Amino acid sequence: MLKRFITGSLALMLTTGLVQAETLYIQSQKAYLMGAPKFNAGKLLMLKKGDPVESIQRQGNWYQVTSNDSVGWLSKLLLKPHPPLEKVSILARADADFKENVRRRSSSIVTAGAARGLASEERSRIHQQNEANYYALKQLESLQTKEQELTRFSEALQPGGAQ
Amino acid sequence: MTHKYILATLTLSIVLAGCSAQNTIQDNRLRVDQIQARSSASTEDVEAEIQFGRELAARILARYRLSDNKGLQHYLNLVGRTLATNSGRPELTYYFAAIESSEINAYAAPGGYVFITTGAIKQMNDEAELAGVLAHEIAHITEKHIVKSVGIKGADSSAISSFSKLLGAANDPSRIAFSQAIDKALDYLFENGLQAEDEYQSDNTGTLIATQTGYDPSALHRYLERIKSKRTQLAVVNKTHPPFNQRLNQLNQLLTLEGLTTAPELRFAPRFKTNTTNQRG
Repeated sequence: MLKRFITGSLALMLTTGLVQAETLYIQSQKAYLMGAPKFNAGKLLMLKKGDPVESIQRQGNWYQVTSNDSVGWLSKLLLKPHPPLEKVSILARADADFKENVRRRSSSIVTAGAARGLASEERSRIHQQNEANYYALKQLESLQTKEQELTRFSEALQPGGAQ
Repeated sequence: MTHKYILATLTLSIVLAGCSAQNTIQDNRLRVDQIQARSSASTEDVEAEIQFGRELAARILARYRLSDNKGLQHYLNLVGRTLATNSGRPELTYYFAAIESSEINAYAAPGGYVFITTGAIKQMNDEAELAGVLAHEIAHITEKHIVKSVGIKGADSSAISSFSKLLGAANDPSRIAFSQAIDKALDYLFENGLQAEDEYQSDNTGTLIATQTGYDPSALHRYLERIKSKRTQLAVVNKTHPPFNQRLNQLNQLLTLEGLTTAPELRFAPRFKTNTTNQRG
């Protein structure tokens, strides 16, 4: 009886020591399930964005996971505990707010300086340092790369790809 | 016999309890990461992060002129956006820009804005080194270093959720708080730097992102080793980043831990030279 009790307690203790399984989701376009927690390990299976995997354990920068009855390793960089979000953009709204933004932010910087009790030269210095160039920002945000071009560029980085 | 059995059981229990305590600490850390990861899983929070980053980016662009070399800007975006696909935040659109300066430096603003000086590009030998630096900046964004350091916290919400509230509010105190948060972020970028730990984490995560993408794992290490003695051009880096030798030591540890070695065939020097010729003179 005592033996059975002790054995039962031991089994319980061992079970609670195990890492609790958790569902994680692939965040990159594709991800390879690897045979070992190393970048140069063999590839077992290709997974795609949004695929769920069950974590078994974490080892440094790697998760051991199961997916479609296969057990393997994935870099922590490619996983999150939630499904991948859709692209978020505020540019359309930002465009409409553009002029208002320049006026509002600029005046609030001066108000912020005044609220902190800064002398007028200090306020003027901070204001100058806080100047914002929204025109250059819009120029930057107009830089486009086509999906196809990105795919070609990325493929050239894979073994056998053209440099 | 029974006593021996009980004694052995007790000993094992103590050992297991120790392991369990260790696991609890690790589990707690994991849970904090997971809560942070989940807390950022709302469109509203991401919008707030981008809006804050845009404002910061506009201020960086007031200090430095955007390079008018369109070929170079396009190339930076190809390299950067390829890296970004392996960085775990598909909801962000990343923008990469060369800014005119002889300083050697690069900056990241939340939400996906990355800047690199033309002075830094001149010091590089190949695309893998460029990728290493851009990936370091991407890591600052994915790890939300500035958002966390600005440290606006609500009663029961993450720093970023408080940003949402701040940006949504139309009253003066909120605008003042927003403006002060921008001042603080500028101070991190140009004066006092982030925590040393954040920089080490970005070096490590950046190296992993670049390796995952297909670049020479030793590239960031090679680049830092080459530039570390250029004191004049590194005036800002030296006051905002931990010492180069410590960063190099940390990177060495990562390369050893992951079993990563130098890979000359993954440096893509010809493509880099073609795309940066005008810049490099």
